Order: sequence, then C-alpha cells, then structure tokens
Amino acid sequence: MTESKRDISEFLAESEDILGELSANIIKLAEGISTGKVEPATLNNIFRNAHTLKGISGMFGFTNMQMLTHRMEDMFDSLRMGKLSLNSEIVNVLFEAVDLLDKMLVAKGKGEDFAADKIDSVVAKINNITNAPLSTVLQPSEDMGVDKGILGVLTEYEEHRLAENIKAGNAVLLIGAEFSLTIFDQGLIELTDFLKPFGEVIATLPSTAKNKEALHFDILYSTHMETAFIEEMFKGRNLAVKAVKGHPLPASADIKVGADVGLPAESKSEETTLRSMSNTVRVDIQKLDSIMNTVGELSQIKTSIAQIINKLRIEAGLTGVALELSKIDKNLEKRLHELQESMIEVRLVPINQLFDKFARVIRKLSLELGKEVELNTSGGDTELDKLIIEELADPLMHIIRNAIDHGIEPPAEREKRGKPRVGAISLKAYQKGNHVVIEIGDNGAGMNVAAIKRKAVDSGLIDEAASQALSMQEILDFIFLPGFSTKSEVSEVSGRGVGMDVVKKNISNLSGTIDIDTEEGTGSRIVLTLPITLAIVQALTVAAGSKRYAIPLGGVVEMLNVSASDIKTMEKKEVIVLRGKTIPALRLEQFFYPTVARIEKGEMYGIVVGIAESMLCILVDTIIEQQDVVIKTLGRLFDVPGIAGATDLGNMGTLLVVDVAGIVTTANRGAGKRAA
Amino acid sequence: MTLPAKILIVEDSPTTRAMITSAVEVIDGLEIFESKSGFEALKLLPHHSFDLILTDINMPDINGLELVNFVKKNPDYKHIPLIIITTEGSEKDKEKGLSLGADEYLVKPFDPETLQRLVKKYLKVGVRQ
Repeated sequence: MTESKRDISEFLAESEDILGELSANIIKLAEGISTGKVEPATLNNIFRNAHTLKGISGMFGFTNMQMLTHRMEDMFDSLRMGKLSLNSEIVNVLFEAVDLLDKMLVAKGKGEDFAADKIDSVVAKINNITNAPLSTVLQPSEDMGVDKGILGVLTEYEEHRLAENIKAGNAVLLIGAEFSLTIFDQGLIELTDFLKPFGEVIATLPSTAKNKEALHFDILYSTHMETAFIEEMFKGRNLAVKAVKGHPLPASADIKVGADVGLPAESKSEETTLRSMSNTVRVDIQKLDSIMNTVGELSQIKTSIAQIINKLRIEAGLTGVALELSKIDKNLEKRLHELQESMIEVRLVPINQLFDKFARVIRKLSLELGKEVELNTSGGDTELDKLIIEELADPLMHIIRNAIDHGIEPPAEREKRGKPRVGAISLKAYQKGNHVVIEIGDNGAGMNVAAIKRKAVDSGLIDEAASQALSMQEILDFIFLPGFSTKSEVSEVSGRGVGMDVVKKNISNLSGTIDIDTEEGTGSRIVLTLPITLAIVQALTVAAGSKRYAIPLGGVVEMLNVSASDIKTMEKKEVIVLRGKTIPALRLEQFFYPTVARIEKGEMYGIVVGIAESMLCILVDTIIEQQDVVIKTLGRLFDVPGIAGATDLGNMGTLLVVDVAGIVTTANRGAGKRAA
Repeated sequence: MTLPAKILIVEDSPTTRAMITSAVEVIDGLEIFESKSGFEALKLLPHHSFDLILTDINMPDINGLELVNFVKKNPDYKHIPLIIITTEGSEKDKEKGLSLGADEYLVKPFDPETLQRLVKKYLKVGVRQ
C-alpha cells in the first residue's frame, strides 16, 4: 500500500531529524559536565526528543525502538526533574544508545530488523543508572504562595522548574504582554530572547485580551538578579510586571509600565485558509535529480533553438524573425538559468549535518583507543549538495579515524612532549568560489615524511636516487597508493593502509581534490576541495585532435591563445609562463592518446584551470562554445583516469566530460603519460 | 447540504500528526486543519469555528494544558470539545488537563478506531465505508 510506504518514509525522516538533535543535545550535556553548567532547557529538549521518538516508534509497532527510547525518556525525565544528577557515565551510555538508534533506523530503512541482543545491553546499562536510589523531587505547594490558577496549567516539569527557582531564592515574576494576533509569535520570541540572559522562562500562558485582534500572554519568569536590576530591565518597556514570589519585588511594588499596549497598525485580521501552517516539504533527492535532468535537457533543447535562429538569419535570410526569436531565446535562457540556480539551492544542506555525527564518532573512538580528543568545528553552516554530503561521510570518517588512531598521541605521551593532554581535531568548512573547502586538522604527531619515503623505496615504487629529488608533496602522494602504510601493527580502528586510496577515489568521484599538509611533531591537515554541486555544470566544449570534450567551467581560471613558441620545456615537462608564473601545460589529446603522433600546431588554445593550490594549462585545438551540461557517470566499467563522465549534447552527440581535478593532480605528480 | 465539521489537530511531530489525520480522515463530512504548535493553533482559532480540537501536551512553545486553559476560558471557544492525545506519562498532567476542561484523554499509541469513535461521539457524524 502506498499510504503505509509514505508513512514509513515520514517516520524515517522525522526520526533522523530527532536523532540529529538528540546527538547535538548530548554533546551539549557532555560539554556541560566539563564546564559544570547544564541548561535546564537542554535537559528538557532532550527529554522531548526521546519522548517523540518513543511516541512515533510505538505507533509503528517498532517495539525494540520503543522500548529503548522509553527507557531513555525515563532517564531524561529523572534528569530534568532533578531526581538524577548528570555524570559522564550517563553521557557515555547515551552516546551508545544514539549509535544503536542510528543503526536501528538504517535497518528499518532497508526493511530489516535490528538484532535485539545489542539493545539489551544498552537497556541494562540505562536500568543500572535509573535503578539507583533517586533523590526526592521538590514540588511546589500552595504554601509557596504561587497562585493556583498558574499552578493549574503548568506541566509537572514546569512545576518542578518553578519549585527549583523558588528554592534557589530567585524572584519569580509574571510578565504580561499583549501582541496582535498575526505577529504574536515574533513578539514573544523577541521578548524571551530579551529575558533569557538574566533568568529562566518557565512557561508562557496565553489568555484572551480585551481587543479581539490581540492575545495576552503571561510569561512565568524567574531571575536571580537584584531588584534594582530588574526595575531597570523593564523600565520603558510596554510590559506589566508582577511579582509572583520572591523578595525582590514586594506585591505592592509592582511595576506597571505602559498599561495600554497599543497594537501595531498593520495588525489586520488575516484570513487563514491554509490547511496546515507548516511551510516545509520533504522531497526524495531522486525526485530532485530527475527534475534536474529535465532542466538539463531543456537547456539542450534551448541550444537547438539558438542554432535554428542562426539558420533563419544566415540561410533563410529572415533577419527580422531571427531577431524576434532571439529575444525570446534570451529570455528563455535567463529563466532557465534562474530555474537551475534555484534547483541547485534546493539541494543544498548545511555541512553541520555531518559535523554533528562526527562529534559522536570521535568521542566513541577516543574512548576505544584510550585517547583524549576534543573536537572544534567551524563553518558548519556552509552549504553543499545533499548528495555530496552523503558521499563525503565515509571518506571524512576515514580521515578522522586516521587522525585519532595515527595522529593524536596517547595522553601520557603528549604530556611527555610538552603538549596539552587532550588532543584536538578541527573540522573547518568554508566556501571558496564555486567550491567548498573542508579542512580536517589535528595537533597530533604529524606524518613521518622520511619513513614514507623509505617505505616507497623499500616497496620498489621508486629508486633510491630518484627519491632524493622528490618534493614533500610528491612523497605524501604515496599515501594514496593502494596498500601503502608505514604503520607496522594493524589497528582495530583504521586498519592498515586500507583506505587512503579509497578516500582519494571517493573524493575524485565528487570532482574534488585532496591535499595534505603535515609537520612531524605538530600535526597534520588534510584539505578537501569540492564543488558545491554536481548536478548541472557549465562547461566548455572543446576539440582536441579528432575528439571533442566538455571541460567543466568550475575550475577554469582563464583562457588564452597559445603559440607553439609559448610552450617551454622545464625538467622534461612542458610549461607555459603566464604573467611571470610557470604553469605546467598538458596537451589534452596526448593525455588521452599518448601513442598518437603529436602534430605541431602553430596556434592553440590554453585553458588555465586551478584546483586548490595547483594550476594547469590544458592545451586544446579549438574552443567551441560554453553550455550547461548534465554529467552522467559512466559506471564502474569505464573507469578512465581524467574522465568524470559523459554528457549528451543532442546536436553534438555524446561527449566525454574531463575530470579537471583528476587531470590536475595527475599532471602535477608528473605522471602525465597514461594509457586511455 | 450541511457544512463539513471542522477539526483542529495540534501536534508537533509530523509523523504523529499524519497518523492522527489518517485515522480521522475516513470520517465523512470533516474538514481537517493541522497545526504543528500551540502558537499556530492560537492563530487559527479566531479564523474558523472549530467543532473539535485534538491536542498533544508536550509541545515546544506553549504546552497543551495552556492551550486547554486558553480555549476553555475564552467565551468564544469554550464550547468546543477538546480531546488530549498524548503518550502515557504523568498522571498529574492528565488530571490537570481534565480539570481545566478537556473532554477526553487518549493515550498514544492509540487505536484508530477508538479515536474515530471519540471524534464521532463529539461530532455526531458518520464514517465513510
């Protein structure tokens, strides 16, 4: 039944969202333990996360998940009600539980069931914690002097927060405000944002205002601030402040400011006819892909229109008609471009989605390996295509594992070296033109470049003499060869040398590049440069020899006319000199067909591309035109270095799309000659 | 021709909201309104004369009890029957809800038929076959 299928995908999407929030909240708890300060709101949010998960898994009859989340909910309830105090044991169990939930969701997504035995051990650990004697809960009683009418609408948790605040000797105020019906939520957000830094908003109580176009709200608020400060705080604001409880404001000293709360002029009644006020939709990425394909095909059709315009003008001599049509064509082009831009935008998601997951993994790994690691992230709001984010998860994970396993030293060793005991891993993302750069840094041991070189010589990858001439970057490139590792023992976490070649492959598949920067003793930094989206790209169609290719514009810096005399030879490699800078040159035809005899051409075109720190001048015979292409992968069977995929260009047939990043890397490594 | 009965569902979880909706939409003559928070419900109330409200308790902006209190204290809305649908939890919250004027209390996960029966009880409408 399609209905139930739709429901399960809704369940999966919501659960995934909640799990993301849950992990972020648990990380906040973990930080709270070290700083000694946990916001009551965090505990309540975390409770709500588990509560909702329990609710929806129960409705779908996922009993295992329901049981686990139920136990978590109970534990969070005890925590938020102050019956249980937070400690690192609890946080560790929570990380385990979230991991497990993650796996259960993945299994559910595939229609499988998750082995129940793993759940039992986590549930047992939670039970162990919650079975310990709990402290008694403080409940407000009427003799606390709080109005029954207020107590009557508070949930048990809100009552508890009220009691806690009274116990702490804080002032409790009821802040009355009136807002117009249409914008009250905005007004309330502003008001609570103003209040939060100085205390706690316990509850928001709506009531009917005299004016039918308005709503009255009483905010139950507690603060530890002095009376004088509170008075100052509310001076000049259109609020009615009343002391509910606490010494700072005796009932007689109520501050009444601006009793008549005027309504903003624009507060007209708005006819609401929407069935739901929710304004977001979830869409399967495949649907977006298919729209994107259609958009791509549309722009190819548009290209044919441009050709017909030319025919009309030149062959049929219909200049007037051609002009009219070309105006429409321009308009069409503009709209198509807008459509593409918005389609790309729709697919973008913040990279935080990944960063949050890693925080959990890093914690888990460092525990397993007996290392102490903290994670610093920045630029989490940088946006990337959802598909790229998905594909990045594994390679990033591998890099991070390596950093913890091989990079960060054990705490004792770090101290011996005069480094802080706790190692640091940093994840940094930022946008750079049409690319997003992700840097993964660690302050660990760094890589032993000499050892890598030795290993390369020992494995016969290069001879001793030639190895002396290698640059540091060239030596580090050995890491990306299959099976290459200097680590003698095999570790559980990152295995042995398996991986960096795969990481490199994965990143190249995303048209990205990977750079390493390392200093022995101080740490390493791995820099990934990726295009923001892969779905549709602008490309140059070029001819080199008898073939035509498409070169994505993303990495293109500039185009030049190149004469044969401009091409110099330096250390057996061809280069050109551009404004004083030497750039390696690569003849596209020779790259793909190294055996074809080189025909010297007087004039050529040079397409200068730059990816990360590397530049390259690609030499072609002709530049034909610039157009949008949809890159389709060729599949595993056609794994040709330097080719990113193919594109169908209607009139021009199918062209191979050049993998600019791949070519740049290959050329800079000096292995320019390869078989196609 | 009779006008459809208007029912307001207040629930922050999209999955739960969808399940409540699919449980009640088999009932004939219903117009269903969904809101994902108490705030949205407050905005919808003045624009429609609802015949029934179904609400959750644990929600992010205002809690369900506060919504019940608001509805049952307002002369324009207090006649609207109100059913609380929430996961089993605090007995105290349930008692409070009923004493504030909620008409029924249904525990999640609920049986769709029980919900349909309750809705029909308050709306006096038929079920589509």
